[in-house]
Amino acid sequence: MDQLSLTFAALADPTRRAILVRLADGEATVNELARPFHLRLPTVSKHLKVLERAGLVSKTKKAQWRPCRLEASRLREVAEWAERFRASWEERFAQMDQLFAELHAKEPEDGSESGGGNQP
Amino acid sequence: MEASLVVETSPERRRAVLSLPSDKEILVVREFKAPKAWVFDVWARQDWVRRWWGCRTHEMTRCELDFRVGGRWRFGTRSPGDPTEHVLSGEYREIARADRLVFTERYEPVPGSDHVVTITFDERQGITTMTMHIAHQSAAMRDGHLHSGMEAGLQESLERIDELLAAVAPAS
Repeated sequence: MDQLSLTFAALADPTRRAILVRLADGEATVNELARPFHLRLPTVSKHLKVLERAGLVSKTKKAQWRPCRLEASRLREVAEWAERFRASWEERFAQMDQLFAELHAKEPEDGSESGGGNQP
Repeated sequence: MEASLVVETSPERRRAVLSLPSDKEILVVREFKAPKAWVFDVWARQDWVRRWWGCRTHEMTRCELDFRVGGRWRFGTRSPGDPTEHVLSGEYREIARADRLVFTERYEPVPGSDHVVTITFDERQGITTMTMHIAHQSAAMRDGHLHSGMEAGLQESLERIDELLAAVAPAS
């Protein structure tokens, strides 16, 4: 899987998002992360591995306990990237919504009057 | 593995879901309060395409479509102050009105950017779910396509990347 997909996959899981939110408050060890989520240590380690591979979390080398740290720049970069793509479509979808609202206002809602145009 | 970001958007609280089912694909799913014949026809009727293809920052400069299997389409946009016309074109492959539409799409300046777009329409109780599946030939082209959304110059802020960014990435 490419880097972008890795990051998307990492963000798709609610527990991993919760871990990121916790890390936004500051570095934490695996033990500290496990406690509030009532998770077993291997489970937390597994989630952290996914987050690390996605570049969203790093482990500091300084301490024996190697606390985890959030890599916010990576998160922001990916979020912006996906968001702009989605936003360009969302703007178009909003224009479709507008068109449908106008059609609802003047046509029966069964859509049977909407054919024609460039239909073959 | 399917990965997705779910983002809350329009005033009616319809949600567009963007996901990447593989490294060559993009999937966009959105609901509309409209019968599926209407949602299908926004792709089929030139006068309707003109209503939505462009956006606030991109004026639609060209809208040609020969809506039949084997027919071609060509849409162009331009942003104010930039003479470059961005042209996308392709060919209709499958047309099953109100149910399924398949066409090819290419960003003309980029050779090899051809991809296949498959759109399906599923209506339930007046709400139509439109599923847009984009299949690229390579991961690099897929990522380039995602990038192009970014380069489209939309200045929208990240307001709705939901609580995650707000909580996780404070101004730094």
